[in-house]
Amino acid sequence: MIVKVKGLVKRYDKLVALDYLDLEVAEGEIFGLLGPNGSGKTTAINCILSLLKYDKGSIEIFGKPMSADAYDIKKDIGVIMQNVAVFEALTVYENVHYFCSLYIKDKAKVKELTEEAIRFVSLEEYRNFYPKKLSGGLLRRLNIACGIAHKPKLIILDEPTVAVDPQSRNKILEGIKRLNQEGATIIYTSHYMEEVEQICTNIAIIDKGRVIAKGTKDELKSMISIGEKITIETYQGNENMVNELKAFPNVFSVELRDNRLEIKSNRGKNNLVHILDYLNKNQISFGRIVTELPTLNDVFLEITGKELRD
Amino acid sequence: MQVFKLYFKIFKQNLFSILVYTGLFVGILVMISLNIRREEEKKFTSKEIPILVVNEDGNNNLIEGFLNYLDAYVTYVPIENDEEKRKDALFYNEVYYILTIPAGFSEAFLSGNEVELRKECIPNAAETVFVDTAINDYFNMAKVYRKHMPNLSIEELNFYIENNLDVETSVAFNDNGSKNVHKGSDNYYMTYFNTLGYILLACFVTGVSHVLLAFNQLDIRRRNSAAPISNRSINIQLILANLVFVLSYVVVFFVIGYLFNPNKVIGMGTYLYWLNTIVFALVTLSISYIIGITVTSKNAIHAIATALSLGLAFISGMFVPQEFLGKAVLRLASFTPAYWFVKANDTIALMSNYSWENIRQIYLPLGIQLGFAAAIISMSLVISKRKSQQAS
Repeated sequence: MIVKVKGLVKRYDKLVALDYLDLEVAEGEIFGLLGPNGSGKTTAINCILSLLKYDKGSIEIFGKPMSADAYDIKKDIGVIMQNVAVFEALTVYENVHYFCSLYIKDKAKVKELTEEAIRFVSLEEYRNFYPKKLSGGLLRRLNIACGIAHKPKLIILDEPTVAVDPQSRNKILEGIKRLNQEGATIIYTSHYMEEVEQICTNIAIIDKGRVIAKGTKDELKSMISIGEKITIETYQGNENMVNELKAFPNVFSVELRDNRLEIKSNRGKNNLVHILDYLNKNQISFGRIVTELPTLNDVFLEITGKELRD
Repeated sequence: MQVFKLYFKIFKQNLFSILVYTGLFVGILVMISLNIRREEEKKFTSKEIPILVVNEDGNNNLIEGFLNYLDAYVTYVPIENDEEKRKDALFYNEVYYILTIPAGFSEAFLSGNEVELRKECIPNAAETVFVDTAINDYFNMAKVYRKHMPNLSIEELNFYIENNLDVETSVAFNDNGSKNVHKGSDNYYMTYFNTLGYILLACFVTGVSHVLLAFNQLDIRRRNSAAPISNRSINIQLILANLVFVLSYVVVFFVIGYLFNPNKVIGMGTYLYWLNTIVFALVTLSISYIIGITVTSKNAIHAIATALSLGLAFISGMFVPQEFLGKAVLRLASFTPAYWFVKANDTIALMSNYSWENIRQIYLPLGIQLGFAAAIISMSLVISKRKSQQAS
């Protein structure tokens, strides 16, 4: 295991931020830490990096205990914080160069890696720009370049796409996949379930400082009863129809709201076919049909009773 | 030494503000230098010095005779007998000397009692010495006549004195005489270093605080802490960079001070000014440090740099000599290191020689300044520790 966190407890006076948190991150994976704001993701990351003292538990990175002065471990970790952490007085190039030079002593190597990192985040044409002149998305990319320039084995990204435009977000997510393909192990925290679903190979869902579910995205989705969500637009829906649909095999919930029929069912091969047959036979006209597989939000909703973005 | 190098990269951003302050100072310096030159040239010429006489004793033969005698040396300037107006007149050099003849003076003098005239004058102005000498000459001579010829009338007394003191001695200006030259140099250096105190405050707060502000942002601190470099190493490099900046800046001004000095003199007095300036630079550095770790915005630092430097400069006597400041202001100023910096400079300027006894006089102001530096650094360490605890 690259990272092993066992029984981590962190309290702020009476508030328990981390409640016996356990995590294991294997080499080469993109590990997603998913949870709503305030669930303890950033606190967990800060503890893992020894930026924060914790009350109980143990943290091992690369098989060695992590501490504030474990510089041999730190040199192989790259960190991209939630907030952009760059010097306003330095240009894009100077910022990346400075942070890279904290890890690498060889000056020529630092230059080479700096150039490579700038290319990696596609900031070549902005290399002499000061951070003030960059858009939010470009700033985030600079933030990432500062964290990965030294080619770390483990990269920790704490909500790197907050307040980023879709184009930059895609670039960032693609970049993370590429870093992983090049051999880096990634820990990625986010409250955006789509991002975690899109890139993470293993996911831990965290709430109130505790891991409430973990596994691959398919494993997580199989944990919940909902298998499919079907939404049908119709202006002829009525109470009788709702009751009849509820009696269909696999269907466990039917709701009619704002001329939209929402049907939730367990996994089944022909759920949609049966429903459409019923509508045709009863000459009920319908419009748009949307079928959705369960999302991590559904997983979170079923386990905690609240939405991820609550 | 990445942090050390980074310090100066960030510092470059504030170079313009620092150059503006420096340019301002050099401008003031040119004026001081020209003024000192003019005074040097005029120093040993006989001239009529503008003075104000406040006669509380009323008119009598003795006073009339004295004022007639003094008229040969001075020009009487009529100014309303109001404390504020008198002080203004001194401040704006309308008069160099205010002589007050207290009530009952003539009677006491003629009775042979100890008497005293009151004076207020421009500090360190050579002209005031001439007035002192003229007054002392008159009354010493009168005393001698009264003692040995007690029956002499006042009119006769005035006649004898005038005859005796009418003899003029020609004074040759000897620019090889080191003593004379040195005193002029002290006046220049006193004004120079007092004004430099303001520039040091403004520039160091602007420069040092800005750099520290950048390093003390929480996210930057965290990113640095996550890197394989100890906080101790970062702090040592920052301290080193601060000292290099502060000491280089001070040395540049030592050189400029020498170049602008009309007499190009470096002596014991100069070394004492340098020592006092280095001590004050360390105090200023500690003030800049505490501002850098407590203030969180650049604009606030600019405002503080301006308010602090101007405020301290005015109340401590960097611009206006301490002699002209009110007691309450000076009492308030004595709680600031700037006051003791100026005090030390003034003390050095008044030293007639640099004996051990004289040099000891600046121990107290230097010690108090170092005390301020130690107290501010201790406070900074406490604040710094608290902030890092809050951050975690």
